[in-house]
Amino acid sequence: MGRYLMRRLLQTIPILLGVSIVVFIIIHSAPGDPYAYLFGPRVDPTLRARLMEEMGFNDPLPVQYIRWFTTTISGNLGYSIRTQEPVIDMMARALPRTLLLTGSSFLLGLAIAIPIGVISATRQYSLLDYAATTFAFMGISLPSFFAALLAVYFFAVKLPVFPMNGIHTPGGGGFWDVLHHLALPAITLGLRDMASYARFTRSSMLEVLRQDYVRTARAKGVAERIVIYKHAFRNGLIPVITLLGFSLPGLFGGAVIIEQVFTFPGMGLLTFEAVNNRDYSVLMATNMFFALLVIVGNLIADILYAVADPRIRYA
Amino acid sequence: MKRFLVLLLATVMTVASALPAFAARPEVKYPVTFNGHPVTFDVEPVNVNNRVFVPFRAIFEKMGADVQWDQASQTVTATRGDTRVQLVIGSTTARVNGTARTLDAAPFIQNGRTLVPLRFVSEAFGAQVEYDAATTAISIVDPNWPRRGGTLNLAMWNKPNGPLNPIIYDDTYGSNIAGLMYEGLWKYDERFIPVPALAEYWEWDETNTKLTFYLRDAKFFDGTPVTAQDVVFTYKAIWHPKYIGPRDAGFEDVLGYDDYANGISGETQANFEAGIVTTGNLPGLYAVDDKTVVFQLKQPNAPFLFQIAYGIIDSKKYGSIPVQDWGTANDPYNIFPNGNGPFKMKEYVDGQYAILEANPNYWAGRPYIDQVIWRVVAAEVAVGEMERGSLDYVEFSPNELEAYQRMSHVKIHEFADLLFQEMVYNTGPNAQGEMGPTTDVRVRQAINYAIDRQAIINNLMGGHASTMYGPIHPLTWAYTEDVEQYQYNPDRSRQILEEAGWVLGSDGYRYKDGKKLSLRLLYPNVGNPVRQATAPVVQQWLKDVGIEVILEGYDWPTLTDKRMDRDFDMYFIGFSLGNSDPDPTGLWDKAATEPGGFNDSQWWTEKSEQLIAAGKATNDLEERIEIYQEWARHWTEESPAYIFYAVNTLLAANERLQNFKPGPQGYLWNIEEIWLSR
Repeated sequence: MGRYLMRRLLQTIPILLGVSIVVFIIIHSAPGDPYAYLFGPRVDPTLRARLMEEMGFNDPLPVQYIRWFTTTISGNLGYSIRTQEPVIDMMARALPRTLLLTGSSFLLGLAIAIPIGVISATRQYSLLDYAATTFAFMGISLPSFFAALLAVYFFAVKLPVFPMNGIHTPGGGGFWDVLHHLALPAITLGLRDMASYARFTRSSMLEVLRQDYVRTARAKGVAERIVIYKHAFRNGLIPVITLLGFSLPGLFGGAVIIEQVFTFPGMGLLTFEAVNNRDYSVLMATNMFFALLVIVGNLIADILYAVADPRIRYA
Repeated sequence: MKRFLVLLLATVMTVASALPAFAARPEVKYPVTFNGHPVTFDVEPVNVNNRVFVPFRAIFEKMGADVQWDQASQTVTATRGDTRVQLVIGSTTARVNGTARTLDAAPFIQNGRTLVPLRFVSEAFGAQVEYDAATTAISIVDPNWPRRGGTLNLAMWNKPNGPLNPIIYDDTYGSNIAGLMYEGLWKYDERFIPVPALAEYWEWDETNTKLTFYLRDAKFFDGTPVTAQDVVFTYKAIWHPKYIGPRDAGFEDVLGYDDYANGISGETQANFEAGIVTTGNLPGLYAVDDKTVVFQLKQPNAPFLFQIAYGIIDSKKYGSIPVQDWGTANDPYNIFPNGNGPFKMKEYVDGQYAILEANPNYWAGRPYIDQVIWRVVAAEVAVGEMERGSLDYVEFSPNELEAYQRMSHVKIHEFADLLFQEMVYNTGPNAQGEMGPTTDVRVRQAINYAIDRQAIINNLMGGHASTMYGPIHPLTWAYTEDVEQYQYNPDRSRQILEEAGWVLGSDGYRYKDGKKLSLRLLYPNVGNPVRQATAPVVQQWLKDVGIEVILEGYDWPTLTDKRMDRDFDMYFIGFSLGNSDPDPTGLWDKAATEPGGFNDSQWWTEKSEQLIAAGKATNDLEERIEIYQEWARHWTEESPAYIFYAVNTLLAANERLQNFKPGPQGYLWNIEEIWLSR
């Protein structure tokens, strides 16, 4: 396991390197430049040219890439072209908020989806199963921004029990206030995963319940509760667990939209604004973060797989 | 709306004749304040038998009373709550809630205004009046009116770009926040004309080249006075060679500007290199004493006044910070400045909100409202926030009108803003150095005739736009409709194209020398959906007269690049006039055709240059109106751009906002007077 992990981690280096080159090229080949905003329209063109030269904007792309690479490798993510703020500070501010949002929606999703999946599998074709299936289809097919707007409309405007946006009340704060503000974005962000986890849990449980060993257990006279939760549940969970790792990047991707609607200034909003402003250094940093997330998500999925299924051993 | 516009125009026209008057020193014998806010009267207060008399309408409205005038009995009745005050012209008997009181002197009429005794009417409503014998200043304090306190809740669709410094900010939200924290030398009043702010008054000398400002006793937040040196410092910062920002335009006429801006003189070489700004005088900008500052120009330049309304910056705090760092993360005062405006920053959470609190030492009196909170809110949920009452006003687009009309607690304001939408023609060589079809004035005119402006206003804008014929905004004093209006006329369009040698081919498009009449129309495919929808409509109209239009939608940075490279035949853009002076320098003059200038149509003519120069050379308003109208006629004939409409601003406001008077001069221009009824 240790060697396997080591190998996997080493593999991420060339992957990240490749990703960074591709992202760097894509970002820089997008039309326009961040300096179009930075300079006033009447800034003397020679001054503009001189400043662009000083900033290294006119260097060939490979030179710019190597400059980015060497500074990044030394732990310096550079400065926002827009605000001159260190990118690391911007990410340090945004990341905990996004982790709070995605983390809570992830846990919330699991806590609701798995019981629903198990129950609708054990009571197949019951009213509850149909209700859960309907809910799951709605959850999967509803675009998250629309779900977010619906949630705002019903639970913040018509029935104003939740705040409409923000992380906490201006000038206020505190645990309950943050939780109160977190409710709508976390639920709407988690909705999609919630629905797909429930579906996965259901179908995987159904499959497991048809297995011979389940029949054996039942034949032995084991209580139904123990059959389901001890014998079937652990095996039924394996495909769901792999899904968890894979859903990690999707969760952060969804946060880009949810953060926009709820004005939740995390990584999503940071990326969104950086795209609009062509803030190269911020974009590179956030994109690399998302790339890392995909790799880590896959790794987690593989590890979880081994943990859940004793037949799988990595060497 | 049309009627409203006409009405507004009428006000503008009447004040226009009064424009030159604001140069003179005000002769105010009895400066009056109400709850600390200066009160201006159109007829100055008069002393009769040691009683000061003021025009009744101004004072009663300030006190929140409803005023009625009965011609037959010559009676003024003012009502507020349970209190009713009646005064009769020429009679020393007045009535308060029916009880007779005797006045020392009777109300009278002067210059068409009815004047009433200030102390009597104030005290009748329960206000206290204090007269300062030394300064002859009169202060009215009304503890019952209006309601004080409360928080104004406002929205921004995205977080400010960063700089909140008045000479650095480059976005609406930076402007909104900076506008509350900083004050300039002058500001706009309700009539959209400049009135004194940090400067008590100003004057041009007889040569129209020397503009002197006399500062009032205003203070920064920390209690130190705003001085003439701070003014010098602020403008030198804009002109500093290391300054990177959008304000360094229109100062070429200042004596010594070039030398300073090029780092030749006015600062030590070390300071020029480090980006340090000092308060040292320049030949064209100098402090005479702590309260007097002079701008000396090389030649008369009437619109120059409009260049110098930027917020004044504290030279003591900013003197040690390189100007290229202002407004960035390296600027310790960017978010919490030592400003001089009506509000100061209390709390700022990046990407979330800004809480500003009232400045008790604001020169025009402490605002009635305690706090202003600007919150970042997704535009999609603004309707919900308004319905819930958690926002006090939002700008909205016509398709949301119905939603706001349904809300009983929301009042809708509509007015023509300075923003207009236009299609710019390339009248010079394009990126490949070729002279495209639009360099022929006849092609431009033909296109103008092929477009149905009214249909766009009616159908795409839902009527929420105002016609704007020519390049001068309808809300400014030089506007005229006596220009070629290019009313929709496709037959005329076809005829002009024939005359220009573009003949119809078998495929329905026109050809000349074997070349198809095909034009590239660039438009922003982000933001404003109406503008995006206009592109295919124009394409269809031009197809009807035989012109092929290739639509190219781009995001802003790309469009900006293409414009700068002249890589277009036509493009759409919204343009906002910075101020109420019609001078087109920087937009349509020859200098602005240089790379980086706004005139990327590349249009200019000798005649236009002469008229623009003439318009700046005189301070005589009548003369200037004539010049700009002549220029507008010339411009529309040449048509370097086609103007679709001036955009109407729609604003939904919670009815609890009182004294809220949004207009093209801003929404919060009178923030200290705005109060909340609940």
